Amino acid sequence: MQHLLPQSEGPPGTFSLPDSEDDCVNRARQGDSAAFTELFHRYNAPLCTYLSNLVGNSDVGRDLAQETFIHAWKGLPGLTDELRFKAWFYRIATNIARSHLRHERIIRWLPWGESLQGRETEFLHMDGPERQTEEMERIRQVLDKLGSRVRTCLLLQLYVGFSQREIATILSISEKSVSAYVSRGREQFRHLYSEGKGDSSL
Amino acid sequence: MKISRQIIDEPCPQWQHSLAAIDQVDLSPERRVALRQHLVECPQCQAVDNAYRSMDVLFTSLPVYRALDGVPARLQELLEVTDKGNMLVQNETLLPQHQPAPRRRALSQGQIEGRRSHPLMKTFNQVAIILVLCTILGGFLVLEHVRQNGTIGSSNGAPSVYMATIARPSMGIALNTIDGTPNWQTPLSMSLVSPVVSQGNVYFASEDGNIYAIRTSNGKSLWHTRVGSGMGVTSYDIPSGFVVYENQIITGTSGGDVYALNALTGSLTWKTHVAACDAKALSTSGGSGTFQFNPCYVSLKQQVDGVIYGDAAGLYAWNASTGKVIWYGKDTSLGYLPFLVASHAVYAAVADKTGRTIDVLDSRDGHYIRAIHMSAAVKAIRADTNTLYVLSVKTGRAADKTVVDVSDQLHAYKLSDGTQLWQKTSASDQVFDSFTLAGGHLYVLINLRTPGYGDIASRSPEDTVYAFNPANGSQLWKSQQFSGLGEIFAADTIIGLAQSNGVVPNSKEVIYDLQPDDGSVIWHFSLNGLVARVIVG
Repeated sequence: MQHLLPQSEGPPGTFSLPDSEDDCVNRARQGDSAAFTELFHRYNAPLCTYLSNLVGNSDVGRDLAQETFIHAWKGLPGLTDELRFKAWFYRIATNIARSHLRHERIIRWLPWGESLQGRETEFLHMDGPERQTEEMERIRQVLDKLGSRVRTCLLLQLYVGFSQREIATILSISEKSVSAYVSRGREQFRHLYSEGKGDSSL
Repeated sequence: MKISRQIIDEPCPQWQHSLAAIDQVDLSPERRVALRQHLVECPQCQAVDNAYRSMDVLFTSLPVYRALDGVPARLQELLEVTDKGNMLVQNETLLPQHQPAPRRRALSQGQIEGRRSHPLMKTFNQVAIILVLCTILGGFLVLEHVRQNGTIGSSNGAPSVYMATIARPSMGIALNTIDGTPNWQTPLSMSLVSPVVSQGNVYFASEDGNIYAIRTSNGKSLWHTRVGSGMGVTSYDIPSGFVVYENQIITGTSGGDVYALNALTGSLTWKTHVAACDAKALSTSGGSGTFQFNPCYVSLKQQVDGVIYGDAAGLYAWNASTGKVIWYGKDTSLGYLPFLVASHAVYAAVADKTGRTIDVLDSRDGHYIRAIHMSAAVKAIRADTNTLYVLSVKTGRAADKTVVDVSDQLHAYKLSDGTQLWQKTSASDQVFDSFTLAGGHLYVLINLRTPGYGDIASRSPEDTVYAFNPANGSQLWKSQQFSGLGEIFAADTIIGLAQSNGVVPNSKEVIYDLQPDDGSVIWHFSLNGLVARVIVG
């Protein structure tokens, strides 16, 4: 049976529960850099994946993630409701990505050929079957074709796991709008993904 | 695997949107039951439903991109600076600091493999194979359907700036936020208030008494409907702006009415009339009886949790689904100046002689909670999640007896208990003209004061926009590239300022897009005539 709990990284024979996120947030809010470092390690990978998928570029995604952490560290003293840290944090990330997309004019993604060549080494799990890799690349291409709001809502709900109410708070739009974006996104994604399958002879 | 063409399963049109909802949680119980029943009978919708479920699983196994290799140097520097500042405190606590080892991977190999072998992934592969065996025709039909409905390719992914000019001929305009070039413009009757974006449309309220729904993608008119008799020689009955609730846009009018319209069709969902407005209208029109000027302007401000808050001869709260009054201001004789709803409370500046009080009311029932007493008159209020910001102005008489600003103050109060967080007072030569919150910044338009002149004339043509950190009031940057008198308004990093003398129709308006980090101008867009407030959507 596989381990279902995270394994302790302490000395052999010892087991310590990691600090709860609320505790980390609370301490980081008071200026505890070690607590913020822990939050960094908790959010680093999912945040980079979220931002990279949002902007369609891994390097840019990492840069934006760095900016997000810096903004979050500076803004933490002003965060009064630590239970909502995750939503607050992803709101910063989303705003930074939106600002980047607007100001750096990264709206048209890299050409398909270039994107296929340049991205392969960026994925962590490239040791699977070739078909699996192609499928992942196809998902990324389809995401790139969605409107930014639709893509953001889909990623926040289906990848990050926020509720539509939380997404509404993050994006400052109504819950109903989030629902509409997600529904529209699923419809578009299904069509584009299926069309992509049809083009897989390329 | 080589695949050349395939058909894409299309659901029955009447179930298309319901199927796309996440787990159908957004549907009414009746609709959900009906959909389940339909799925049993319709293999095509069943296939689409399966495809959606498989898609959701795909999302949980998105390509995992490379994360940052440890704490970046810039962040590390910031953390170390704080560490030095906190060193004494940490030593005194004598508690071990927990510092876990870095985790470089988001998912273990086992987790990834687990996701790959998930039963729904297998289902997805089966569906994909079925789809592959279908014919060319469906593919073309889908492409045509998508093209006609504009669901793909209608947006470049960037938001747009929407505005309506006040000068005649009035125009509704959409700008590309990337470089400020117009996406489209469309003629309108003069519009005085902010448009609103919802359901893929932008809605303009017009002085002819109509609401116009325009497609955001191409500027084409979707519908228009009349909610007031308009601005004429013997009448003044125009819409006053919007709030959005679910699939409705809701507007008040200067005739004392509130209309809820279906956002997609413009059909009336409900309508209510503020009876208190009638008494006020009669007392005003009295004499001639020919000019029905109704001063009871129903101004809707916010929709929060299904409740609409507005001002109509006093504060009102309406149920957004039915239009029924939930509560209204007990003392309507005072009237209110600016107000807003935040953290389950209504903050309303009281329009008494001094204008120095902000009443805090329970947003659920309108009961008085407490008051915030200012030392000067309240000019504007704004709020974000945790903080209330108030711009107050102390006035006095200049040598020529005209009223002038003596000093201005910007205050930040904690919403939870009303304690003051910070405040800024204008320098002796400054006027805090207006302020707004957008994109995580607090923007203040500051003019230079010229002593001895009236309020308007005292303002220098050189304006400076300051950006402050809303959390502590620290200055982030200032920019001195603007001129004009207009109120500052912002959405994201789009900043609007009126230029020239502000007199319609000879005025000019300039919309600036500023770099949020330093306030430098990315692009600007000039047009003749003032605009009602700019929105980004």
